[in-house]
Amino acid sequence: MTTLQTAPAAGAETPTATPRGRGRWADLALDNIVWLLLVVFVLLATALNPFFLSLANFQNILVQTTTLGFLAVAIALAMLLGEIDLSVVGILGFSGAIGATLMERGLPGGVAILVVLAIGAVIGLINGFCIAKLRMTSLIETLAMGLVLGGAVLAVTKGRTITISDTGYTWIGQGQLLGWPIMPLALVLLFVVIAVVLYRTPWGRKVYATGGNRRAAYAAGINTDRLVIGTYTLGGLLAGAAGWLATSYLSGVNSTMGSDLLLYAVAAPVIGGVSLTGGRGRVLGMLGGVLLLTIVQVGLQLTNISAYYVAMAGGVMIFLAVVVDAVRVRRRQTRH
Amino acid sequence: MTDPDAPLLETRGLSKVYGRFTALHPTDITVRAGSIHGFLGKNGAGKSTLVKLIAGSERPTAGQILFKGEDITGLPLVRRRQLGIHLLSQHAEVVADLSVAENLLLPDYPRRGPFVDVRAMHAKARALLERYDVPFAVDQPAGALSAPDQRRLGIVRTLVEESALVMLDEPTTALSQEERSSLFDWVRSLNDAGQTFVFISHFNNEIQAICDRATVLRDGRVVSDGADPRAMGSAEISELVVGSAVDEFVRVPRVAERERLVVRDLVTEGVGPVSFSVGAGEIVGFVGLPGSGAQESARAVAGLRPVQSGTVELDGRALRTADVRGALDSGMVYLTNDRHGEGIVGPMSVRESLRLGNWPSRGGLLADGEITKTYDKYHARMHFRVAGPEQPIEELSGGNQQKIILGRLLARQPEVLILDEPTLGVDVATKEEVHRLIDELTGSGLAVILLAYDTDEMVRMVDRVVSFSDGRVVGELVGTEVTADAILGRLHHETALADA
Repeated sequence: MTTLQTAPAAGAETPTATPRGRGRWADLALDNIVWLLLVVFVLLATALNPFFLSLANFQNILVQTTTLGFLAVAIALAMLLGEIDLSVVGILGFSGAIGATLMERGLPGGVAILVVLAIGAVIGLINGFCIAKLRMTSLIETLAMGLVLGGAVLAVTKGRTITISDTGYTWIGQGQLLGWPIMPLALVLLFVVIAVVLYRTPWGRKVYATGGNRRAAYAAGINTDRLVIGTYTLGGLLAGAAGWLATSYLSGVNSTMGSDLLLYAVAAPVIGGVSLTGGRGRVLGMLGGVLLLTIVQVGLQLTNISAYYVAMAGGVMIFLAVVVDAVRVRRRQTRH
Repeated sequence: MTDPDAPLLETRGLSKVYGRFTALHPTDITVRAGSIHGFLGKNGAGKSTLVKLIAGSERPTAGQILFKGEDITGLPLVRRRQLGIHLLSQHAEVVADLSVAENLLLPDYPRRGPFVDVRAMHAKARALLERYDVPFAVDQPAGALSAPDQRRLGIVRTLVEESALVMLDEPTTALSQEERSSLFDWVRSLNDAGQTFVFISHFNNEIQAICDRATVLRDGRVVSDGADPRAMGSAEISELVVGSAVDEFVRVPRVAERERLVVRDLVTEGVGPVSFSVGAGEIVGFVGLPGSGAQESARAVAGLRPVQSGTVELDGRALRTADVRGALDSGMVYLTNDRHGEGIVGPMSVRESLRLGNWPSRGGLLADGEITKTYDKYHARMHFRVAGPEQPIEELSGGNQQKIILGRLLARQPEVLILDEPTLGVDVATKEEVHRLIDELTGSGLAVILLAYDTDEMVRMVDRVVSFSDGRVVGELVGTEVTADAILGRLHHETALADA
């Protein structure tokens, strides 16, 4: 049996490590496991409840995915550096709460949006500074920051729900365009922009280089500290944007907002193949990860399965993804 | 006394295939009890695969392994260790934060009830170290030992477990000449007492210095098995290793007409003040034991070590010595001796690796065409072997990785090239290519600093030698004074000084 193979480079005696015939397909499947799972799950959910494949449900899934998408990308950026950001949900709640409070006191919605985004970016900047310059461990630093912000939300809202009615603020979560909700546009825009930034700009490549081997990146002239700070700032900005999206969609702020999102936002990039050790991960995988997790949740809700099992199924998905990741790493190691 | 001709270990048709790539073709070799048996070959020749199969850390595709006449092919690594088969990797396998005694007796510590009996452990460790003639303090952390002493500790550990066969995978990596010969003396004395070793090396002279039998591998095949390397010429062995006669490149020494790099009174963390200069088109060798200031000074000039005082001038201009970026921007590039730690970003494609940290852009977006042009240029010039431009650099052999790192440095159009062990872990053929390339580059005025613990390499390549000791420049060798003996003499002299 012969498979089509690329000819070895001229002058090569032995190919040092070329993809193997059958192995290539296995690699391709492993790299895209998230999309395979997605297809399987869509078929399964549709078989159990045909409504799953309806346009209304499709729109609902996209809307549900948007906030998670912003948080997941923020965390994925930290992961590409080999770090983590557990403060994103805290940023979401805090920036949203401040925005809502200010609007309550008469700040115009358009300005409030900018304030919400700026708060996110500034908190990201602080995280980045603590991690890059003060050499704090990102896991603990961002966990602490998340707890502080979660507490601050309670302090600001005093436990009550603040409603937002300014359409200059809520248009993103409430508005419709030609019968379609506007919110998913933000998701599409996010992934297009982040793909361009990570793949097509020197800055994006530096993120991958720094995550892949920080010492080598530094020795090659990359200002790794500044890069870490910049990446966390961008992550904070995205988490702030998630705060705007979530509060706009709910037309208000409450103290428990987004509390169930953190683990899913951490899991989504991992399911999509982003390595926790840094330097590896594709934007398309991140998108697949958030879509899969949302679809699993929505799908299970539609099948009248108890909410307890919904959470469990999410856990199983994440477990499966980590197994796949481990297999992938093993294959890579045995290759040379 | 063991029968000198008894086969301790045999392989029969032993092979290993990774997908389409055959790492080891069916192999029959014999290791005799009581010998020091060398495995010699280029990177990717199959040496490491062979020892991993013997140690049990990899499963063979086909074939058998016989140990003392018994088939051990199916046994896992742990069982083979119990039989006395040990593999010591290139990096000393010690736990830096545990004490020497704890490392030595790991994992079976003497106990009193549920607790470790520290006194008994120390006594036992002391007795063992004495028996093998290595006088370390047993309660100091293993990480405090020098590199060769860590390696000795690793070897003693295997002896504790009653080893029958100790395989040393390139144990001399990053050791100075001095450290190497003392390690060899010690291994020889253990061998005299009956211990069998397998010794893996890139270097013919090491194999000739220590082994009484040798197996040469090339492209996954055994090309010679069981010959006495001491009875063979160096050229003969090289020919076996490479497959055709290698003519070792010897540079025609040059005298620089003008100075390019002038360093005055440089002080960097525990080193200095040092002053030295490198001329246009000149290759200056830096010689010195670890900690002598040779490497430290070179790294400081490259911006990889903080400079406390002193000046660095290039072509008469004073340079900023604050950081790597400043050094790179002014044309000073440094080839690291720590390829994995500081050289490559594993998952990056070969194409991108050639412009690492220096990616061109137009209007904020990567100028892909230009990056591809760089790739094409250096692919043609450096002859690296890759499956394609998008292959991750981590999948390449050490020699090819080294070519790509060097290509990346050259793509920056450097004025000063600092090479720290440029041929470490690089096969013979690539080594010659790298030497020729460096020599060619000096033709256009590039100033080169070379650090190499292989004195032969130093002698063949440099025009002048600057020797370091105790953080100072202590001497210079020029022209015909540059010989292996003179360089070794410098090192010996310095050790004598340091001991005094």
